[in-house]
Amino acid sequence: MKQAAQLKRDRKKLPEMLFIIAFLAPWMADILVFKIYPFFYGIYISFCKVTYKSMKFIGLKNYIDTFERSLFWDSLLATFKICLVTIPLIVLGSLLISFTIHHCSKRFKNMTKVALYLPAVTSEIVLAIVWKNMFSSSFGLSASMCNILGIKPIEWLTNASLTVPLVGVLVTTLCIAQPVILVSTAIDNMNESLLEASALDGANKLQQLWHVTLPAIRPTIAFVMITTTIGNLQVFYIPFLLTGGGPENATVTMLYLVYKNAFEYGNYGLAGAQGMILFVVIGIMVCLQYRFTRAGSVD
Amino acid sequence: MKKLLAALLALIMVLSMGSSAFAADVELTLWTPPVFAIGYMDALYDLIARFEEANPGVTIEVEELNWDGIGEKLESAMMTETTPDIYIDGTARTAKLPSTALCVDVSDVLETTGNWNEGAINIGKVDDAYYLVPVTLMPSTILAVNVDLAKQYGVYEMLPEDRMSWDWEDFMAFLKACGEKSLTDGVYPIGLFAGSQSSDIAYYTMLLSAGANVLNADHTEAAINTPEAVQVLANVKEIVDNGLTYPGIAEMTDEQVMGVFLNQKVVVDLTLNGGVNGITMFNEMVTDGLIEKAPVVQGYAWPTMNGSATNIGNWGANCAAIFENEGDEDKIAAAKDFLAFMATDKAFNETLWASAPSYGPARTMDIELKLEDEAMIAEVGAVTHLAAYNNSSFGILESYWGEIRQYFYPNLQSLVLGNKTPEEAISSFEASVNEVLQYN
Repeated sequence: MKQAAQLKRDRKKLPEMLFIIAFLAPWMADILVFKIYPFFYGIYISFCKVTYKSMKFIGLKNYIDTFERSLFWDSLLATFKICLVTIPLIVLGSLLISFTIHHCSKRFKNMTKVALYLPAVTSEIVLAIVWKNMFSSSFGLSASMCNILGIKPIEWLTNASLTVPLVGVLVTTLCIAQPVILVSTAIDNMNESLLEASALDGANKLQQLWHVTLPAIRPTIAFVMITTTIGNLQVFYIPFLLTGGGPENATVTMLYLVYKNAFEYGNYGLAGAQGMILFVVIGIMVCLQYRFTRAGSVD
Repeated sequence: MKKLLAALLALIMVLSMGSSAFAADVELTLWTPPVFAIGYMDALYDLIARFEEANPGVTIEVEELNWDGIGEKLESAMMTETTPDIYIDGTARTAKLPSTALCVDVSDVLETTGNWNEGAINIGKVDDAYYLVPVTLMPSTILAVNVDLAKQYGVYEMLPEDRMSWDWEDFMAFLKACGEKSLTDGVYPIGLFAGSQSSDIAYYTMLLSAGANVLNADHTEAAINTPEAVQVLANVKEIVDNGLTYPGIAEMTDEQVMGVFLNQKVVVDLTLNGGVNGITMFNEMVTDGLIEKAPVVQGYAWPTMNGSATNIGNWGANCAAIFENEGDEDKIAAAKDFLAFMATDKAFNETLWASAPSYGPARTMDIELKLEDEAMIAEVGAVTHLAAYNNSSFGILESYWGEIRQYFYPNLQSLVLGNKTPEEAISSFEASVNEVLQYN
């Protein structure tokens, strides 16, 4: 009797389940075909010598070759140098902007968000071409301004110690909009009574920020930090389009190296291995950040 | 009635089959960039129209490739089995095709057409089989000099009469003498570049002419670290330090250098492969109404270090390849017919030669170089002898050359920015070349 009732309930749920599956199917297919399959295929080819007609298992050779090649270490260094600029700028910048606009009118707040979002919705190719013309030391806007001021043009794109921070700043302008929206939403949604209670206890604005607001939005900050790290360790378009990896290979990032090996030189196995190493590096960085941001947190 | 209808249908099928040499209609795809710039694409479309007319049932669909990302497009196509039936391009990309095992042996095409330039067909040779059909030879990598400007600044007489007998001392003296007068007008003696990899063959020619080399004879080791190579880079640095090159060399690309040459802001250009191409470009500007009169341009070989014979880096030939794809025999046969047709079609080869005279024919045939422009006729005659010094054996046709060349211009950048001495730049390039060789 009980079983029959259960069966009846299950039958009633069946259309609902089919409905859910129908809606999920396109996304699941997308994830399976374009994410999960390439990921495992990437792992597989990283252990193979890939020619256009065959794949031969060669064990760890691609990984060993990668670690022996100087350009890999240079690319790792370039990636970290760019991240060293972008991650603090994006995290601190989004906090600063969010705190600044928090008390402003809703209209101003929305205008700021739109302004920040504009670079993110503009084609990276267009931006890179514009920036290339702006920062060229021989014919760009920057060079013209230096000429007007009677000073030597700044070698933005040819002096590695300037190019790497410049790339970092430009990547930041592309990536900061989303974190600002997340952080400002977290601040807006914060329980105001916490601030009121702290004010009653005599806390000033700075103390409120440090002891109340920041801990309250800590999960959002952690999320921003982790997603920013994941995104920026895979920086590719801006160095590719703006500097072509130069000067002196100073902006050949890890993903750029993967691209070069795969699509310029046809070394798919090596590119696969480097892609997997990048995946592990991202994993380690995210774990470290996760531990760091969890430390001292109160559930 | 049914029998009559069936007989009619059968008759129609037999008739339609009879109009083609192939079992069914064949549709070929052909990818090509505009390898010879002016005139090539028009000549190709005309050739295809003639071929289709002569071979009913065969159609060729052309996809004109953009230079941007062309290597990546070909790589992706080869990896994903989406290659075209026919591919025509320069050896920067075609030279590696024979070793991919994706292309069809075209030895029979070469044999039936005959009279080929031996060096050109050998680019596609692997284990006694040939996989590439040359379309044209590539131009010699030589300097283009704006003669009008050279005369204006009183240095024309310093150029070698035979277009090649000069050494670096003469060359530097020419640049310095030119700079003394031209710089006040904002005109620079030369346009060097270190901001892009393309056209880097100019620098390999610079090194080869000076007696240096990139790889050893059997291409197993770098042979670049020589006093001659160091001296060449020291000379480049001297040109930069003396302000004789157009400013911003570290980020200048070959296209930008070509642009300033065509704007007559530099006297010597190293990206146009000589005077013939310079004349062609200036004539095009006149046609487009951008300038009133084309200046006189002449081609000169790079200087040698001590008056030895010049040695000119050369990409060999523009070539065509047939991809096997699914192994459709009709398609392969039609593609072979097309390549044979292209190799022997007089109108195509003559038009091509006339529109881009620096790209000579790859096989001996009964065609003439029909030129109307007197300056062009004179220039072609004056530089013909330089072709004898073309050299494609220094590693440029190796499948891994793309990896090797990625290391040259970063070192050149370091040199011109003062971050490396000539010795350090050469040593660093040598180490990178050996690293590439180790893994190939």
